[in-house]
Amino acid sequence: MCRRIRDAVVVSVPGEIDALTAPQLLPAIERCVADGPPPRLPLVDLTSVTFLGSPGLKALLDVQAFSGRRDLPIRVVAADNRHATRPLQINRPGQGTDRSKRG
Amino acid sequence: MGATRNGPLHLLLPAIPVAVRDARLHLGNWLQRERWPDQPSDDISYGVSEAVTNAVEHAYPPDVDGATVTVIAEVELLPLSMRRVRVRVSDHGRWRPIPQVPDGRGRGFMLMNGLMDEVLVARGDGATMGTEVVLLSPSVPAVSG
Repeated sequence: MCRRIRDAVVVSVPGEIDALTAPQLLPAIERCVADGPPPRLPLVDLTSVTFLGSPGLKALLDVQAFSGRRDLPIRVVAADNRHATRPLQINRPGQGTDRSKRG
Repeated sequence: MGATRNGPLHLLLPAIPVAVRDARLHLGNWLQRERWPDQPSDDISYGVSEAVTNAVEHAYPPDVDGATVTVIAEVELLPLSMRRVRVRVSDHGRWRPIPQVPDGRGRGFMLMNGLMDEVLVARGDGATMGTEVVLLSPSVPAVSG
């Protein structure tokens, strides 16, 4: 699940991030970051995610808080995988509810 | 006339986490049979997943026997050759207020609102009736033939 590219630890998350699987995200990243010589900047790879629900978004926030505490800048890569980019885009604070709606 | 190709989708699922995936798979197949365009179809599946997640995680106390979630989806024809999907996700559990601070549940409703044209919540009395979430999808052109 983790692979090292220069100063980054790439954590690939394939498949569905839902209520069943979301709780595994933070522990997986903690394990990857704990392994090998520093620096270990976590990079969460969502390019092969097939579903990202609200429990997954919450888990990503937990990951962000964890990396903030460790002073490890985190990067999230989704490329053009709409299963990940769509929920992330809606969940962005202040942009979730201002989509214009028909009456 | 033919409002839909297949008729409504009616799912009765146990209120357990895997129901979210089941609902999404059945709904995706049903939308495909309705020849719904891919991205709007995905958005409907994401939105309904949130409603089912909400029912599974929040409607029932732990270890309740016979806890279920019902998903009913139907196509509605609109003027100007447009159509949309109306999905009703209902449980028989207890309504709990949506927190203002987006926790998991608030975030779920935020997603539903961002993905759907309209999200309506009908609360039951907590005794005989649970919560029903009604999701109206954005409209897409009707298909002919």
